[in-house]
Amino acid sequence: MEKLIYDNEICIGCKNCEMICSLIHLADSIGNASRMKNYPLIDGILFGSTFCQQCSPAPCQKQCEAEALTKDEKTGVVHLDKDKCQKCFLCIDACPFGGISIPAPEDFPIKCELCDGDPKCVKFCPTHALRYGEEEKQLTKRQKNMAMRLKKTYVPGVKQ
Amino acid sequence: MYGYQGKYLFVDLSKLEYKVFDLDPSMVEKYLGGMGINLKLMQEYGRPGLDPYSPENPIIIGTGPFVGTSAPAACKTFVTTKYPLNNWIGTAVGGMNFARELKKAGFDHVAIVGQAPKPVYLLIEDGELFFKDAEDLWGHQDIYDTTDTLRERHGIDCSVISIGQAGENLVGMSLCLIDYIASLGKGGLAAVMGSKRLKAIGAKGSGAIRVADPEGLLEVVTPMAEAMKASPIREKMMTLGSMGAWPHWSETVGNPYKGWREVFPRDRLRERFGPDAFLTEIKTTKIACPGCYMPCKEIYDYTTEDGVDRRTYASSFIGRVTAFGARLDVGTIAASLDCHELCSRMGIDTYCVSSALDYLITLYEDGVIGLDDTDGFVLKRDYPTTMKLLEQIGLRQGVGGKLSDSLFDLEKVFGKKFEALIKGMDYIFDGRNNRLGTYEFEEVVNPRGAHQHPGGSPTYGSRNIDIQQMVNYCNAMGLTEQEKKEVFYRDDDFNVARMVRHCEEYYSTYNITGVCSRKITKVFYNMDIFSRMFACITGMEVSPRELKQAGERAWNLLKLLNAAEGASRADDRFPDLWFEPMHDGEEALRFTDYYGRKVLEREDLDNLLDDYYSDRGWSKTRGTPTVETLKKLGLEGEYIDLKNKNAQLMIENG
Repeated sequence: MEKLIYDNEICIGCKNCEMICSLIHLADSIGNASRMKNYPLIDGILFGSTFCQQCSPAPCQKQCEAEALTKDEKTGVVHLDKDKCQKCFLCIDACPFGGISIPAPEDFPIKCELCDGDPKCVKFCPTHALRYGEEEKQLTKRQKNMAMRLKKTYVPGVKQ
Repeated sequence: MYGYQGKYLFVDLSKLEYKVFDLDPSMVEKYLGGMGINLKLMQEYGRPGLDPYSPENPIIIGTGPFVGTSAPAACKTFVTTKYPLNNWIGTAVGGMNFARELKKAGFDHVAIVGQAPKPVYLLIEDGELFFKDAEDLWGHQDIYDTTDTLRERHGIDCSVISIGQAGENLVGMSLCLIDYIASLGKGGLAAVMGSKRLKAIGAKGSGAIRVADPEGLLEVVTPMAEAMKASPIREKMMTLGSMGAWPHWSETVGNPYKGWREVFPRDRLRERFGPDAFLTEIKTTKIACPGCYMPCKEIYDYTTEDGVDRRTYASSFIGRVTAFGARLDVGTIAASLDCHELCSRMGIDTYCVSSALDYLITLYEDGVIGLDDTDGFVLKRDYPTTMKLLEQIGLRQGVGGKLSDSLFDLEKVFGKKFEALIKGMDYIFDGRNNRLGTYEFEEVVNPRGAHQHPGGSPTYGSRNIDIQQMVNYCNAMGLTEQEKKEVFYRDDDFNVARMVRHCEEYYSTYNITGVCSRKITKVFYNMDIFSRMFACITGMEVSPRELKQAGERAWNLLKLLNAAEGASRADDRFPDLWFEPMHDGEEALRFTDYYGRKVLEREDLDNLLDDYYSDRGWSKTRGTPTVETLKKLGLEGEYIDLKNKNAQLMIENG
């Protein structure tokens, strides 16, 4: 199953991933309405990103009583059905990797669904820090650790 | 509004109050944004003749409509004020995240006046502004520490403009850094902030930036992004960075020093600072500003000669080589990065300070000053001397402290003029080793001082550029056939003065929209792209010609503001030094035209200046816009306002 892979060691922090993601998916709110967030210079580590890891089983799915979150077993993508969402936002807390956020001024959650198998952030990434393909275990592990740290110190886009 | 947030902040530091104003739609239509609106706000909030350190001298901060929209390399922050180094008004430009965060916080511009009763910093967040006590930072924290502190307090996505000790101590050659790395405000912006007791400005936002036609924008951006990704320029930036310019910069033209009378020995520089040393001696990490595909910014991890591991940040390594490796001969890469780090922490302009220290040390070497003048301090071209003098300048102590105000009147202090200056500002490109390209001409005519960037063209980084490349660049800049005929007055040459006028207007387009105007970005833009993007982002149809005219309007307003400060043709003076030989080994370099065909006399340059003024519609005698030109550009109201504020402002009629 193909995954979105991020290598922070070759990331240059240009945030083109963020801007393109929001331009394509929620153009009324560029930059903020991104399903992918990129952060600069944390604890001596240069860049870090948060985005959905398409987990199985997915902790966000478990929390969702409205069954708005479903896993496509074929593609591995966790989909979010905006119409079913009850806006309880428990999924946001449930995700350990900061992969779900609410883009102000909207009030619904957004998450990466891999652009139907053609992630645009990958297309616009200048350095191939973002890749789409077979899982690279070491990078996924590094990414998850980094995202958990980011989530602990800073939850993106959530307005209480 | 699309592209714009439609609001600006007016901040009165004396009262610790602020107001939010709507951007007047007619002002937006006329000035379009960025530098244009900045200058308009400067004319409204400022007054001719102000002391740069007067509380009334406004600091106008601006973004551009393209910033944060995914338009490639649209990230720039613009700051207009009257600069204390040379007492002229200018607009400084800086990269990194501030402009985008300011827009996400809900504002396109910020106008700051007054003087805080005690040190403060500003936090701009989601439609609000907070005055924060900075007494614990003032005098205690340098730029890196202050940036750390604000990010700890307000989150890692808080973008920070900060001043260091040089700004607090009102040093003329001080500047600010944005997010540790992007320099902002050559000529003393940090000192203007210091005079207002303003330590830093943080911005962060979670708001939306909206564009009128997202699909259309994606259509314009996609091929540009693909071209940038596939570009060999990007590959070079990823490895050598600015050191890719080494063959031209350091080998062909070389680095002047010793009062700009000699070129630093190339083999010595190559061995210690060349691309091989750069790639092996330090660890470099590339950084791009938001929206950019060309990472020109770098983080350097290196070990000092005392074995200490250290990290510093810069926009161009090759500039560190010029400033400290050549001009001050500090000896090693680690030593030059140490000097750079100290400048960054204190907030001192590395180019300006290395030029000033070269002047001071040359005086000592030539016996013009002695130990009596330096309090017994032996001035050498080396690392310890440079470090000590840098500290003295930042803290206004000792002989270095004598350079802490302006530079144009140092003859009174040391008995000999600081010659390598134009309008009281240091220049980077000298007409003798670089010849007269657009950058060198721009250094002389730029109203702000010797700032070369608005003169951008292919003459940068190339000695004998093919004339066809210059024609192509003029096409990108949107010149008419008639304008091209005037620039290319014969098949194998161009009129540098007439060319520069268009370069300035093209540069203004970048500074109005918020796009980076570095050469590595510029090759992917042209006037048609700007116009198409403008429509997609703002919903306003602005033709390439109208965009060019908005650039012309902004440049004329900049000149008018400085005319009200007393600027005249006499200020656009090529340095006397350029008419003397520069020694390059056995060779004596002379000031020639770009192709090196003719040694230039002052009369040749007077003729070129005539061409420049007449193309601009400016008076040849005064070197300033005429009433007719101001009318054509819709600047009569601005002229009348400035005339009312300063009756001395003389503008010719026709």
